[in-house]
Amino acid sequence: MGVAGFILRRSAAAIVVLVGLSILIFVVARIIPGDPARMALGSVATPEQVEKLRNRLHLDESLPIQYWEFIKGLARGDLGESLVTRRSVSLDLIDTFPATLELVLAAGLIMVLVGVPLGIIAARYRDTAVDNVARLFALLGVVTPSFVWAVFLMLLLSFVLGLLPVAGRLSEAFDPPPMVSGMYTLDALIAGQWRAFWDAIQHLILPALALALAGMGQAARLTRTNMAEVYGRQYIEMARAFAFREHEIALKYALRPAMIPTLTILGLDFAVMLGNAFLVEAVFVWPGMAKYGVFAILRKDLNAIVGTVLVIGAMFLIVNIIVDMLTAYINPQIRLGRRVA
Amino acid sequence: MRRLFRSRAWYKFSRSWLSVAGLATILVIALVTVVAPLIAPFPEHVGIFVDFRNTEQPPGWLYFFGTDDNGRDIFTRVLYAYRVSFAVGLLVLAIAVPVGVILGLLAGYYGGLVDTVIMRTTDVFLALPPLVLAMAIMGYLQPSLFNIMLAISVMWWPWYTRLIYNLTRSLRHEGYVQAAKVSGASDLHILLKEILPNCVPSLLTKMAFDMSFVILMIAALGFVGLGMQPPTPDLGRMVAEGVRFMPFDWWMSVFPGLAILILVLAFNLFGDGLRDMLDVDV
Amino acid sequence: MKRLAMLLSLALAVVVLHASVTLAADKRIFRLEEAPVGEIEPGKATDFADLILVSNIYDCLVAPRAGGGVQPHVAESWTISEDGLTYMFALREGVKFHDGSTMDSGDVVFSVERMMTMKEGFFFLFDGWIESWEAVDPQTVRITLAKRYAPFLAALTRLPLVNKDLVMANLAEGEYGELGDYGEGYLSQADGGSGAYSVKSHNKQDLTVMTRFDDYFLGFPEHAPDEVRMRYGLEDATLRAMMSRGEHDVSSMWHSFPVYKALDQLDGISAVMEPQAGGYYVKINTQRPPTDDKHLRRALALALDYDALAALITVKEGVAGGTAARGPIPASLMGHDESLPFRGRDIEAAKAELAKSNYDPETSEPVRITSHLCCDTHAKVALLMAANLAEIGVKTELQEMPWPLVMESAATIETTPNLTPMVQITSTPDVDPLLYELYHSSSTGQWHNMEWLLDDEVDSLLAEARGEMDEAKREALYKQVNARLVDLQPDVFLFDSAGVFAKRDNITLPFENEAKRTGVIWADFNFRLTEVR
Repeated sequence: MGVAGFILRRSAAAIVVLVGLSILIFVVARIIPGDPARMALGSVATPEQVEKLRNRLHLDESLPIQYWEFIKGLARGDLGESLVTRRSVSLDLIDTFPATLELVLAAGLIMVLVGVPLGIIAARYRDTAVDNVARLFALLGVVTPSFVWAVFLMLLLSFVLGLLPVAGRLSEAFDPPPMVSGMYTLDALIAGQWRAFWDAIQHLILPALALALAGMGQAARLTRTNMAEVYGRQYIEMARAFAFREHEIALKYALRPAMIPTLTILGLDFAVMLGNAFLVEAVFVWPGMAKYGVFAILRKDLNAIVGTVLVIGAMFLIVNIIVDMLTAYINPQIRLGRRVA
Repeated sequence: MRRLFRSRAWYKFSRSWLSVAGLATILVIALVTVVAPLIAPFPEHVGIFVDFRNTEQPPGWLYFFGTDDNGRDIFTRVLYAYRVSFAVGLLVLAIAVPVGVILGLLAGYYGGLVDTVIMRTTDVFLALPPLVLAMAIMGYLQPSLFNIMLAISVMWWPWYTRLIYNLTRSLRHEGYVQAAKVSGASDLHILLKEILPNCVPSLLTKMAFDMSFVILMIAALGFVGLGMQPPTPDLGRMVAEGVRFMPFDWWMSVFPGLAILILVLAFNLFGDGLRDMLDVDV
Repeated sequence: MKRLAMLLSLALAVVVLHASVTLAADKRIFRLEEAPVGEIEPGKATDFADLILVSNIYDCLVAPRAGGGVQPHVAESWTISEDGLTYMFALREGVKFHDGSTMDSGDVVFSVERMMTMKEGFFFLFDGWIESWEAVDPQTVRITLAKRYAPFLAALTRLPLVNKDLVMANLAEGEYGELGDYGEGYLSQADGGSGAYSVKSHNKQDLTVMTRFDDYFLGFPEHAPDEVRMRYGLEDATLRAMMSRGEHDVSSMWHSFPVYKALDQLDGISAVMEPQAGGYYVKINTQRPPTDDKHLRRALALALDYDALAALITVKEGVAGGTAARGPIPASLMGHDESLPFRGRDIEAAKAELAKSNYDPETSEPVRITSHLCCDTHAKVALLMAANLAEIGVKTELQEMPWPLVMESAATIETTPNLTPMVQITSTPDVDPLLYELYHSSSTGQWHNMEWLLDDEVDSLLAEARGEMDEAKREALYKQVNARLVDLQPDVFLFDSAGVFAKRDNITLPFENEAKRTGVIWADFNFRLTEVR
């Protein structure tokens, strides 16, 4: 099966999952008691105002009809109106999505760039002090809640040492760079605004690091386990016997097969990071979708919850497709399309 | 007991002292939570209690972990908070494991439509970060022990379905299963007597790891304000509230934070040991 | 591999080193912070954050006066007819909107009509009172009332004037027929005002940036900020780190008191206090058992340890989240009764009241205490209340709720908790909205009326006071209301409310100077009168 066919098949499966997800979250959001219109209207609302809003949101219709209205809207890219911001949820999500994407990508980058080498080093120096330190570090990453990391890093690097800014995406001295991707670092680069780029990077480091640490530990542990397993194989012994240099063995022969299970798990870690973003963004006032989502949840903002969840689900599915493709690329023996969604 | 310690399994498990330490920590904490009312210095600080004259006392001989902003002994509250962590963790597994296992067995064994329906459903649940779904569900419910447990269980069972499904698929063609089939054993018999026992090692190991994840998740829910109702102690909430006082009154968040860390670490190490001992991959 | 690790650590080191170099801005920037969402649509604004925004972006006919009452603003002067029904407003000349056009009576009439048609936000202040409105000439507006309404001028401080032409040019599809959405979509994102500050960017859950409007008709004092940045929903820890690093100037009043205490101890930061025209109450559901019993309510109020609370909300000498209360009407509002004693604890009296009540620890329902999640202080009050009640043998049940659930629970008597700590501040510079919202039967079902008092005498006194144009007679009526409320005890009157804010010392807030203080939070956050040095 060709690559195109593979992508097509995976996308179709992903859409089925998304539809299921939309039903799931929609039903969860609507069956639990409470009057969202009443809550959305804020501190002063007359019964007529409540009634008006209920009608506008189809809250008095039956559940299937409400879902049908929702799907009709979805087809137009309309996720309904947020009960809190009183704006279209799609607009809110378009506004907040790039910030979260930027954060998660940066965290993912840190996770891979630090976690994988850490694992390789640990495997290479197996059962030595280096290995133990690396493992301990990795384990700490896994067992410490990301919100504890967030607070700890903020206190250490900003509050005590005063090295990095605490909150937001950009200092007030800068205006956001012209919108291209919505990711300030990238947009600043595109616009050639070096100082703004630098400023955005500084704002990005803390939240990205807090987000990356858990996944980083996981990545290091897995790389180590898998590398260790590959090191046990005969062809590595063979390479050693032929006096290949150690780092060559590590990178050329051991890493590649070890990457396959690692990549799969990295895909999962990505999901964990998306979840943890819900905890980290609030601490660093990062105006992303996850912060928006937490707020929507606390405010019982139905449409916003459904929208956020769908976008996160879609993001997750896309990442998994990419991971599958990478896996196939690294090991052509894995037949495309054999894995299920 | 003696037989256990002499067994080959224990030998494998105890090869890593870290795993043993993990198990020991779990046992100690479990014991402590059971006898908490006897050993806690200030059991009344767990209920409705406030003493604004005794707030923010640093750790000392009277208050091992110091006091919080309501003048309550943090040590006592951590002990009781562990009860919640354990209780929710065990209850979540008590719900998620049976549901997940049964569905996994059915899907893996029968295949076809049953497989499709069940496994596509798990796909839907697994297409979301666990925390997000749990938060979304908690957002609608009144925070309580039961509801937290419910919210986490709802998104936890698919992981077990996945695990058992894959195992069942690979076991179903094994000789002894085929043999049982040929000799006229019922499906129920095959599932429960032939396949399920072979899933147990993986299941146990996963449960050990999952305890740590569930505890982390309860803490995360508490941190965003979707945890236990006050004045019931909740580790995540204690961290969140203590953070306000950092870095000066550090004990208010550091001790509950460490408490989470230690318990999660213990379950992780225990899981590692189990995995080595039972020689499974989860 | 080593090279990669080295490269990484090098990169990190460079980043970290550079980070310490911050950019100095030559503008005067004022950075403040408020609760989670900021609404700039003038018709929909209701919460504190919204009011601070809207009152700086828009102007009204009249403005709150320092020390209480109202003063001329866009309306230079006005006359009231003999019967108290017709108001003629003479508009100031040369008031400019942010787009450069000049405001005239057409804009004023349009704004009144918009409020009366959209029926959102502060519409309830005018509902049933304003009968007609017309532009007599370009500088004169006549508003006619259906009935005499003494707090009308004060209510007008909540009717922002919008730019008619701008709104009409930006109508979108909507429910108001020819008028589409009445500019609601446009004004939610952009500004159509004439205020001292204009909106540069607005993200309602993150940050609003406003710049000074140089053509403002009142001009600017020397130290007024050039740019104002209002953030939403900062966590305690984040605020502390930001303020100590100089990334932020002024906190909101919603943080926990330990945070203000800790901030106050840092160099360059101090805590300041804004006495407000409102109260800190524990609302008592007077219809739901067991608190439907007056004697039990009194017992609750007598059992509470007010001194412990006072210690809790005191940041330092002279700065606290409230001052001792004598009753429901705070010291700065009409009807306050100086002759009443301060509220205080008396366990013996509490037990005596409890004995008179029908409360029975065996059979009665536990007293349900709900605190809303916004503010840690509410949770502490709830906990203390529960502990104090346990001392006299009353059973309680604690619960925390996010704001939307609090609002929803207020909808019926059955769902409204027995006790809810809440700060409530008058919507306009008049006592009328405060008392109406708290106690009048017509306001039940809203969060601000969780008392469910449903008392005919209070209802009729409040209605009568509204129609009374004579100040002295009106005050006498409110004193009567005050006395009746003290007797009925529909709330535990904790404190006369005050806001505590942490601020950097280079900022002077208008209310720090008593001569500029209005006691109305949104007017006390007048950006123009804020000094940035």
